[in-house]
Amino acid sequence: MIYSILRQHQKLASKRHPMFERNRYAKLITAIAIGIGLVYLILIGLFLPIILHAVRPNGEASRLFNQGMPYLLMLDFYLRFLFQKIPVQEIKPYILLPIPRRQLIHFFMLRSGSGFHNLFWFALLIPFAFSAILTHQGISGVIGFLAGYWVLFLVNNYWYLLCRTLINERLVFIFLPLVFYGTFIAIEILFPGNKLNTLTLNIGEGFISWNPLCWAVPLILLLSLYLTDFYIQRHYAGKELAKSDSTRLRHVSEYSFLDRWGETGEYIRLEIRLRIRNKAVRNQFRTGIICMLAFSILLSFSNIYDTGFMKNFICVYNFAVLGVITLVQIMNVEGNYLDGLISRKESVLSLLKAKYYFNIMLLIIPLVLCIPAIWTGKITVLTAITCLFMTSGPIYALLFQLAVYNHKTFPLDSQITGKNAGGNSFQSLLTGFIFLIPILLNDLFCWIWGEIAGQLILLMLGIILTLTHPWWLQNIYRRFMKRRYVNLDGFRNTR
Amino acid sequence: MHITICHLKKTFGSKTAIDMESYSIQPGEIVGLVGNNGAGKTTLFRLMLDLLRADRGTVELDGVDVSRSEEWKRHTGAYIDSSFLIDYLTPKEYFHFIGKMYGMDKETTNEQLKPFERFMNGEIIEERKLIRNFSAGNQQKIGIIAAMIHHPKLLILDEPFNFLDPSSQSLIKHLLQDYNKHTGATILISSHNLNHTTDICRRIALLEKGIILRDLINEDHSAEQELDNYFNVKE
Repeated sequence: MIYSILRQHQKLASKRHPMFERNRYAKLITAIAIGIGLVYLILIGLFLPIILHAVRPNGEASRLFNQGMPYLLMLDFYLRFLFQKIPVQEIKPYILLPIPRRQLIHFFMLRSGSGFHNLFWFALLIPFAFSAILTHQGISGVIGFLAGYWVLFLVNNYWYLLCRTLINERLVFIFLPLVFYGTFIAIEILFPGNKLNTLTLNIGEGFISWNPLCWAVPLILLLSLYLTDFYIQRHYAGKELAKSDSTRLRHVSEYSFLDRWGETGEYIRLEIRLRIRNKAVRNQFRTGIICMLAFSILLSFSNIYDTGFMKNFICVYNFAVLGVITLVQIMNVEGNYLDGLISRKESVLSLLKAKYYFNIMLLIIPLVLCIPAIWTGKITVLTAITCLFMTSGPIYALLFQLAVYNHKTFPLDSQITGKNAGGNSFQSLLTGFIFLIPILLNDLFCWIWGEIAGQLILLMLGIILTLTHPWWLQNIYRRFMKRRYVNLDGFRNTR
Repeated sequence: MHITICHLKKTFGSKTAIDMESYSIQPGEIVGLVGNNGAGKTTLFRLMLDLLRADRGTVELDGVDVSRSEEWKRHTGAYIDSSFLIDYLTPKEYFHFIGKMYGMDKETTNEQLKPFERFMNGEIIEERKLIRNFSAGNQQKIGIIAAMIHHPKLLILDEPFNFLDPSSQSLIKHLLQDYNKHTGATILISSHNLNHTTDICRRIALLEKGIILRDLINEDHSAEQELDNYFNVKE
């Protein structure tokens, strides 16, 4: 009974959300993209046995596939990180009702386990199983293979929930999945001829032949992870709801050097304090910095992405990732106190200017971080400068457009139980667009005019849009003011 | 500041929140809005501050339609609820921030805070505590002070007595009366506390379902009896 009511609430929450209309179009485009992805996976699943047979004529395709199991799980985990929400973000409205808290958490966790997202890879697995396993091991082998992988994806699901909850609480827990999956890669690189492949091969083969021992291991793991997850999520949800923070600040910095910038300086000061004093915003910012560092390290010290497209991609990512992570939610944070801001003249324009200058200042970090890559000749100075201006120009100009359309308040301080801690499909779509367009333009221009001329054109485009920022910020402000009633209404409804 | 309301209407679905043909407030008046929950007091304030779109009609401040200009914002101060507060600042930082929005430096802002020292009762300004960690009463005080700090010609306060202890309620009444006397500012307050409202307001508008039911002149508590009759439910 209670489960069906909660399920109904989930549907209503999505349907009655202020972003529903916009999300509907974004979801349609996302659905088309996923549809194309699924078709690709089906085709890969059909042709993979033939490819694997060509690579190793003596080996069975399923055996080779099972050897690659950790990489599939790694990819699955990464995709979850991009798209999947943690369930206890939705627990808050029910916490004071006479429903046992454990029952609530069980509901949200079971719903997460029974979701269709855990079957995503079946688009690849089903055609693969029928073309590679059916002839050798029959239908029971196919079912065993599919069921076994489903259990593994469920394990990954609860492992993800555990990691994500802990990371939301303390960013240091990001090392948990990094170390776990990093160990696989390290073993593969450092110990050629290791037995890891054999282990995963045996597990996969055990699924196909319904070996009880091979089934027992992932099932015990699944149960243990579910229970650990349950206690962790219950602990943190309770802790956050009971939180009463009355601590005094030990040190209050005035950032007096910003005084000379007048009203814009005052808003830059506000931006700094926003990032320092609010847990959710601070973690978002730290995640951006960590991503930026990771891409800089990849760019400077690794040669795994040294192809032209990937190098450009990593270079653009290096500069843009922090801005994308923080600016995609632009104005959502201010939704908490926008009534107060907007009742003061042109304060939103000053806020937008401050946000732009603050993000421009932060671009010094990736510029410094890519010096080793320039030094070692992996990228040219022109590439680095082009990426910098492409970020400060077109990418920021695009991201700032969201200031007109975002109208969902982002919780400042709560992590686990915040109503709108996650993004929406519209923002995800724009993020994807932002990353692809500069790279596609770069490839197009380089193809037409050659590498240097192509990059110079992009640089010019970047400089023009950077220099014209007062104009496009003013334009965004005017459009924001035209939509102010809709936005204010949305912010109030989602506070 | 002179306020003129013309043919103002705001509905939420089938419910009419505000429906006013014409209403005018003269400069220097202290007007109280009273009415039961859902009468439209806060909606009217939001419409006056251009935080809501009216279905039809206008609110004009000194002849300027609030939805067509931002100039009036320089001379207006308001506190509706905690969504006006930037809660990750300390009160001092918040006052300085608001001061800067009105072109005041820190020294001037500190000077402007002096008349509120008793009202703050030593619990606000020296504390190195974020606004979100203050009690609801102290947050209310911070919001009211921030609305008055730049000496606005129009002051709008929604339920200013809420959450305040009795001493602070008494103090804010005196502060508002003094402020009106010395600056000639127009003050609008809404409240469920009839005693406080009749104590300080010379004019009281009684709202019901978005309509001004009575526009009462309150000389020496003369409106008290009529309000009492309206609000006291008899079995």
